[in-house]
Amino acid sequence: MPSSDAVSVITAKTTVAELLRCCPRATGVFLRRRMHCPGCHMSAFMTLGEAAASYGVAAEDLVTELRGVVAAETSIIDPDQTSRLSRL
Amino acid sequence: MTATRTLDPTLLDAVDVFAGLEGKARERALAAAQWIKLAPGQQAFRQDEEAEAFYVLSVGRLKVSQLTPEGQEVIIRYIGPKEMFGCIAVCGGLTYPGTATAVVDSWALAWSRRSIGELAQDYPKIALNAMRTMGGRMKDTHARLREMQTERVERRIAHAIARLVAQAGRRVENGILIDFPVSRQDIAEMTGTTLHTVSRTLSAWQERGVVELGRQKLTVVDPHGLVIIAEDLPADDSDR
Repeated sequence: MPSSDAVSVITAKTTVAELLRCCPRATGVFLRRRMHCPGCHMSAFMTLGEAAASYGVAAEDLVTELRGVVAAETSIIDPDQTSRLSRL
Repeated sequence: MTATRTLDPTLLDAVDVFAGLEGKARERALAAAQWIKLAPGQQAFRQDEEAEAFYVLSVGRLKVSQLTPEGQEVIIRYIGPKEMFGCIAVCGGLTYPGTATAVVDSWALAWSRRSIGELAQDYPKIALNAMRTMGGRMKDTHARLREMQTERVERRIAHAIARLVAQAGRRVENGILIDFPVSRQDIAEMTGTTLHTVSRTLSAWQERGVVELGRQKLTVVDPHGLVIIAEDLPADDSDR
């Protein structure tokens, strides 16, 4: 199961830009939560935890949801995802 | 739209345009008026129509709106009881600047352009009063214009700083430092504004805890706060 490694490296300390670089599909998660992070100039400096706090979202929920999207993506689309993510 | 309704004689007392008129003048004004009833969604007049009547709202609420060339509706103001609308008819020969639509069941007194014109000729106070009201609304409009201009400058400055952050930001303990010497003059030149405006804006942001200023040094302490200003995002979805 290659996705489990990829998934576990996503934490509240991952920056928004890192996450979106590796998993562009996660953009939808931010948009649904009305978070303006995708495309934001600050995304390289803001961690998922900080972004969640800025929008009054529970960081745990956000990370869990993002892990779900990444898990789905790595198992279906991109076999290299695991190695790219683990270099974060 | 024409209907009858018992007139509350105190209505005209409360309306600025008839302020200071003696009894006889007031009687004439009342005699020339007609009641109109507007159901929600019904329009008293439309934008760009010749201004044929002048109104005073008795009960209810109306919105005055304009359509953009793209067809988007922009609400200019709401009219409440005892307020005038369609004042431009007092001047004669002009068109309505917006569309007046009832938002709830409303009753208004209407004067035709001709009758209000005649009244204004006989009682110049009416024209002066109407001018005063229009002047007051013009003042509101100017204030709003000024606010919008200021907002635009603020947003430009916030955008410029956000771009600098993206290009040369470095994470430091208290935020994101723009990692090269950047002066207020530089930011003024980036945004096409004055040094004075940049200084004033940055000082205000420092007080609000958005940035921290040093000599040729700028740290964004609240990156999300800066983005809220730059993108004009609603601030209330933040829990801070």
